Amino acid sequence: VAELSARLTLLKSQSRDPQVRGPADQAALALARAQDAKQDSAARTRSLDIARAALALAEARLVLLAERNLKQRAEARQKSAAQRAQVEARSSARQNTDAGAATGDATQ
Amino acid sequence: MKRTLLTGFVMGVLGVSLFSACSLLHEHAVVRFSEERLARAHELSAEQRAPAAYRRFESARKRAETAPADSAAQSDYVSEARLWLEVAVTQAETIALSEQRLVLEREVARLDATFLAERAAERVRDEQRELAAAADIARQEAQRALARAALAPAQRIKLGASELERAARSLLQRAELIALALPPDLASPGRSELTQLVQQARAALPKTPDQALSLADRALFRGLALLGALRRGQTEASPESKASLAEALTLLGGTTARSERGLSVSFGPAEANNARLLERLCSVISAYPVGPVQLLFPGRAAPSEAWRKATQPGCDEARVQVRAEQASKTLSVAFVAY
Repeated sequence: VAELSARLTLLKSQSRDPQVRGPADQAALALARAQDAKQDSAARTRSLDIARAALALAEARLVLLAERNLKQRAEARQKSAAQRAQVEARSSARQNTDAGAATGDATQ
Repeated sequence: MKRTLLTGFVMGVLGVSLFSACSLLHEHAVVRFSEERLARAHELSAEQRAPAAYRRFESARKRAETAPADSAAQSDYVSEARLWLEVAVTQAETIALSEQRLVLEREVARLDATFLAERAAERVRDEQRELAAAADIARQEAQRALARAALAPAQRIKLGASELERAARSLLQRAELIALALPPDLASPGRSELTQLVQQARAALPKTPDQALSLADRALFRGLALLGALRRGQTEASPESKASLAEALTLLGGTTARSERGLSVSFGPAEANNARLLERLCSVISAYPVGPVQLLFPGRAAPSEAWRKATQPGCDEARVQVRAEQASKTLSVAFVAY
């Protein structure tokens, strides 16, 4: 229970996103139920299993959100790099044309 | 007594049968999960991408199916199974996104590498251009310095005999090539003079390379003057002639420029009266016979005596307009047609 509580506290401090907060709240509820069911060990185990699963879901969603963010950044970087490459290619073609013209002039 | 025992036995058998039936019913209790989430898990290959979470889902589902129907335990197992299914779907989605991002990152890395390679190539091209420009400037300066040195041998840095000989040989070769290029039927006093100068230079080479260099230089410019005869039929200057004249003027050591007056060359005031320069200039004017040539002497009332001395056939007064320019400090020559 202590370990699950610590993970839960850490998770809540890391995100306020409802997609994370939903399962985190569910884990907190299950933990509270586990603490209440001290007499019924089977019920306590089941509540702890639910808390573990809910916590795992909250953590997985946190990672998913981070991954979405990373992918968006990668897309933006890729777009920017592609545009830069296009500009560079145009500039390079222009320079080659100029160099060709200069060589032609020099030959003349 | 027997009836009581029989009734008890029948009740017992019925009870066991009911219990077994109930157990059987519990073992095969079907727990429904969202079809949409299961399809999503299948679509994302959650079983392969998130095997641990998916195993936990399966385990919780089995427990839910074996738990007494509508019991608190079954409800808990169903909740746990649903949660693990969501975990598996979320983890599989994250991995799928990571795989897509990896492709993007590789593309970005490839584009970055291409960009850096192009930048490096551009830097190399710039350096090569700068080197070529520097070499060109150095070559022009060297030519000018050599031309100035030829005009003022007393001020020239003393060269070794072998260097003088090499320079004289180089000029002689060019003069001889020009002599060979002249048409055989060209009868001109300049031709015999050219032959004589070449012979004298050849003879002087082994003993007095300095004198040989001077003779070879005169031979070269005399030969250039004779080339004018070949161009005499031209009515206008071709682009090749223009380029050739610009090179010849650079050889004289002046500063060439193209303006509305045509192609012009200017020399410092100290050189305006240099007989050797004027003689060379006269040779170049003779070599390029198209159109008029304007000669502006600095601060003089009349054309210099030196110019009159240097005049050869081709530098006649009709073609060359010689004027004095009070305001100017440089000797300026403009080839109007070039």
